[in-house]
Amino acid sequence: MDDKELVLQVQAGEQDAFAELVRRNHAWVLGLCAATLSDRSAADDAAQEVFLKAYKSLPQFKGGSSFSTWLHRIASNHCLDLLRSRSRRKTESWDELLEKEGEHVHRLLAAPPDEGRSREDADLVQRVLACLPPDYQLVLTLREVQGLSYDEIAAAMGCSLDSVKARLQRARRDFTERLRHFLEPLSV
Amino acid sequence: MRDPETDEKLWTRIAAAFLRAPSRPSSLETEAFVSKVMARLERPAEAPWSSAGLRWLVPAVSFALAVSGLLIARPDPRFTPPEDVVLLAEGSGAVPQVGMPSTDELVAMVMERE
Repeated sequence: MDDKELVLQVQAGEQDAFAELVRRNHAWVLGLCAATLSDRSAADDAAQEVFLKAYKSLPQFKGGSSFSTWLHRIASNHCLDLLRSRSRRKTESWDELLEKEGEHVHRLLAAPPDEGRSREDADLVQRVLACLPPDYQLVLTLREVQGLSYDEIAAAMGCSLDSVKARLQRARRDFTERLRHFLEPLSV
Repeated sequence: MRDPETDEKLWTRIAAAFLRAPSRPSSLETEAFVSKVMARLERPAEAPWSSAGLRWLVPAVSFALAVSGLLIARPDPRFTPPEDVVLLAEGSGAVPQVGMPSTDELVAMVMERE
């Protein structure tokens, strides 16, 4: 049974059909939340909220897009709200972070891509990402972590294709500039 | 002038270090997650006063409303009818009450009986 049929069943009052929609989409919703939030527990709570919001809004879902595209939109908006709220509370600046953790950042960049991560590494990754503007974090996560196409990102973020390309380019440039002086010795 | 190829290499390294996909949840984790979400859907919407902590509120508010109603409806105990009305009413068996006829009307009634 495809997502469309399951959606129709939920809309007809068959709540159990929603369990299958949750099951099918859990991994990527949790992945998006985990990539944008600091810990797995917070990501799990956020993922639950995404599905609860989707369930409440399902009566209004007309099927103009696929269920997963619609869910990406809900999940992206929810993560962006959480990132903005975290960004308002953030106290550590980029310069402070580099002063304290410059060596560690350098080690992460020099490590082979498939090397395992310690808890401290994962924590540092989140602190580094938290220094980027929330919409840069989201667009980079959707593209690099979730592997969405530009079209899918545009649908998830509710903006045009050109806007996605421009935002992604600015986000990459910003992140590269922040880390350039760590990277250039590595690339020689 | 920056070399786009170098920038692309730098970006690949950044993405590998900071934008890795998290590990996929196991099927057991997914089933536990589905149960949690479904349990939250199935929970009936509770009225705020139905929780144990506020259960006393309904009778307390009802009692307070009933007492207020009685206080408002009860006549003012400080009101006493004028003395002449009481005296005039004594012989006739009439009971002076609030809302009774005026003094003049009572006098007229007593005189009539006499």
